[in-house]
Order: sequence, then C-alpha cells, then structure tokens
Amino acid sequence: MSPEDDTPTVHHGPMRRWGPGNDDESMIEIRGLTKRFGAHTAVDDLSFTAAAGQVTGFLGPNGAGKSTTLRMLLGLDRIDAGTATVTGVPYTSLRRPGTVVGAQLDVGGAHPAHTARAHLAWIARANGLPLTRVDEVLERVDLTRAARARVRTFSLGMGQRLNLAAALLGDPRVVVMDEPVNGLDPAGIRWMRSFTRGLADEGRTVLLSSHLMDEIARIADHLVVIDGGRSVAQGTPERLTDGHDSLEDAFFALTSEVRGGVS
Amino acid sequence: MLVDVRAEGRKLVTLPVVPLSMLATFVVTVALAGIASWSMAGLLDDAGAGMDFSPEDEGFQSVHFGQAGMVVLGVLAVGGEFAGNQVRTSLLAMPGRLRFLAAKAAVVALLAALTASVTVPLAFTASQIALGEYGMSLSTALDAGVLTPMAGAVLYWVLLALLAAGCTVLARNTVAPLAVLVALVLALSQILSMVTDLGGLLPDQAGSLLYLTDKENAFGLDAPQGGAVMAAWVAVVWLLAAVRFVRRDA
Repeated sequence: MSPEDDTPTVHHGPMRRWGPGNDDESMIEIRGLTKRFGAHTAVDDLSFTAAAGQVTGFLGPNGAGKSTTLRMLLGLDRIDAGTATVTGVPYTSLRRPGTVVGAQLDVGGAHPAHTARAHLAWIARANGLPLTRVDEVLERVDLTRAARARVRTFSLGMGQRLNLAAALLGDPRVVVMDEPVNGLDPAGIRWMRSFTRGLADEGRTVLLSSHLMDEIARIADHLVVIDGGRSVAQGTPERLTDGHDSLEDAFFALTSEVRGGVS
Repeated sequence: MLVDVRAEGRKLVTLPVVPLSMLATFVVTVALAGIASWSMAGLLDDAGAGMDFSPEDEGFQSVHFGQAGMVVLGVLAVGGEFAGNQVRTSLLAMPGRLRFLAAKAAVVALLAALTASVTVPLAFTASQIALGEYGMSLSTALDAGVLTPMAGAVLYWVLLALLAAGCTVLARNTVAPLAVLVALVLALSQILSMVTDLGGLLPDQAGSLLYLTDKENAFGLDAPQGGAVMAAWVAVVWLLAAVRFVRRDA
C-alpha cells in the first residue's frame, strides 16, 4: 500500500532518450525575468538555465519568488520584463504544450468532482493524446487503484501524484515541478525523490522548486538559489555547500550576506 | 480548435453536475408544461369562452421557467474552472486564452442547443396534450407556423446559457452570477419592465420575443430584432470577459 512498494515503475539507468547531445534546445532559459505586483518586485532580473538530463533545484524560502517564476515560465502569469523559454520558445506559443513540457504545480488544479481518470482524460484530449495514456500515467504514479475515485477524496500526497500524472501524460522532455514534496510524509518524499531522479536519468530536463534545501540537494545536479526575487547563488550542490555543514547552513550564510550587502 | 472543443466537451460531460443540470432542465420543464396546462384546461372549463387564451403561447410558458436551467448550465460550465483551481490546468493545456474561451463557449452553446432542442418541442407537445380540447393538434400547430417560435425558443436558451457563461468568466465565481441571473430571468426583468420602458431592452425581455409572438415590447421590436438585442448583450459580456481574462494573471 505504501507508495515506495512500486518504485520499480521508476525507470533508472541509462535510458537516455533526450540526452544533452541529442537536442541542445531541450532546456529552460530564464533571462532578466521580472515580475512586479504594484510597488513590490516579486521577481527581479532573474536569469538561469536548466540543462537537459539534469535535475535543476530551484531553491529559496517561501515568498522568494519561485512559484511566480515558474508561473511566468508556464504562461500563467504575465511577464513584466525579460524572457522565459522552454526548448527555445515561450510556453504559450507551444501548440500541444503537454507533449513538450509537463508541469506539476502545487496542490489543486483538478475539479473536486472529477474522477482521477476523467481529469486526466480531458487533459490528454486537449494535447491530442490517446486515452490509453491515462491508465499508463496512473500506473506510473501508483494511482491505478484511485482511478475512479473523485479528486475531493484524495489525500495531499495523492493530489501531488495526480498532478505528476497530468505532467507526464504527453511524455514531455521537460518537467517543471513546484514544491513536489510539500506536505508529504517521509515515504512520500522518498518516493518523489526517486521518481524525480528517474525522470532526469531518462534524459529529461527537470526543474524543481522547493524551500526544503537539503531534500533537494540530495538529488539535484545543479542548484539555483534565490531570495527576495533575485539570484543569490548558482552551481553544483557540492560547490554551494562547500565549507558549510549543510546546504541550509550555506543558504543562510549566503542570504545574510546578500541582505547585509543590499541594505 | 476542434481538439480544444472535444477536450472541453469531455471535461464538462464527465462533471456529474453538468449532465444532471441538463436532465433536470428537461424533466422539470416538460413536467411543468403538463401540469400548468392541465390546470389551465380546468380554468378554461370554468370560465367558458370568456377568457383570452392562446394555446400557442401556453405551449411556451414552461420554456419561460425552464430557462433557469440554462443559467445553471452556463454558470456551472465556467464556474467549475474556479473550483479546485481547474483553470490553471486548463491554461497549461491550452495556453492560448482566447482559444480556451472560444472552446468553452462552443461547448456551452452545443450543450444548451442539445438540451433545448429536445426540451422545447416536448414541453410544447406535453402542454397541448394536457390542454385537451383547448390544445392544438399537430396539424393545426404546424399550420400556425409553430416551428418558427420553437426554433426561436431554442436559440433563446442557447443565448441565455452563453450569457450566463460569459458573466461567470467575468465574475470568476459561481454564486454571484447564478443568483443575479436566475432572479433576473424569473422575476426581476418583468418587474423592471413595468417600472421603465428600458426594461424591454434587458437580454431576456428582448430575447423572449424570439418565441412569445404576442408579447408586447416597449420598443416595438419584432422577433429577429429582439434576438439581435439579446445577441448584442451576449457579445458585449463576452468581449469584456475576454479582455479581462486575457490580461490578468491566472
């Protein structure tokens, strides 16, 4: 019953379909991205990239501008300045976006009265995908038994996995995840971590936001750390953690430096 | 575009409340037509020939009450997007916001047309049967050209469902447009028309000229003009809704 029982469905290993050499556009590129809400600048001239076949951890405390950045990348929020592209083009210009980019955002996103299967079925249809994909992704995220259950009966973890299933429907080469381990129990966190690693090992570009630094440091290849809407550090987990006990310690050292420097 | 319409269609018909509202509209409207016309036949028995009575308009009386079902359908079809933040998923799947709205409007129109084209003729028939000797036979009804107001009633229901859907895109919630529009079509517009002539230009007052052939209108509008006034309301509401929906953050 526990989620990790079926972890074999996560494909580890050398199944690289979209390695960096195959398609150098399969990445996310953020350039000078800015978002203002009135006088408050939520995202301030932010730039970074996410490379294919890597898990890019997008880290920062709550309110740092992570979700806003991802929402601009995905065309949900308007961009005030700068650009955000996936595979070289803005998300909103993609004809069948689900076949290129899968997005698993925070809880919600499904009508409470829909069954899991009905929710995924209309998304599949909107992306021109066959309905057989619905059962495939339900199985991949271990929700087969809940296929006919209404979304309103779902636990937080099941809701997260339903959104993950929706993201994977179109077999996308780019996967964007916003706080995927938020509110999960240890078993759920373990499952999600191994699942995410598996996605990158298949050659997909994974961009994963979280405020849980050390959870992400364990699976990420590359880290982008932001605070107050600005980039404070980018690099490998090893490099950013260097000289500190944990990534979290390194983060607080970094952000206090920045805050001290700015004010 | 066809892909988007099919996806929207699947989204809505798999939401239990949508087919339920269509079925309820059908059942209530036809049952009401039978009951009301049966009691009208009783009144006519008592009053004798002294009553001013048109069996044709009587056949459309339940269409007037059943229209509330189209408000419910239109509001729920859009309001569902704001339940559980479904709209976020919709925009991820269809990032073109105008395309998404167009698909939504198309599906609302299709579902309303389906409901209306089954309900209106059957409600009219139930009414004529219940009227007994006062009712129209099939041949007299056809001779009287009843198919035109029937088509008008179907069009009126479709326009009303679209109006309700457009208002819900603007309001971004279910309760306000549902309360305002149901109150408007069932009572408020009638009252306003008595207060001021301008009431005759309200969407349902003008639109109902499409099927109520004897209805008085302060501006002397005929059926096509009444339909055009209502269509203009629908167009303006959707234009405002689209501008607002495209501009803001989801």
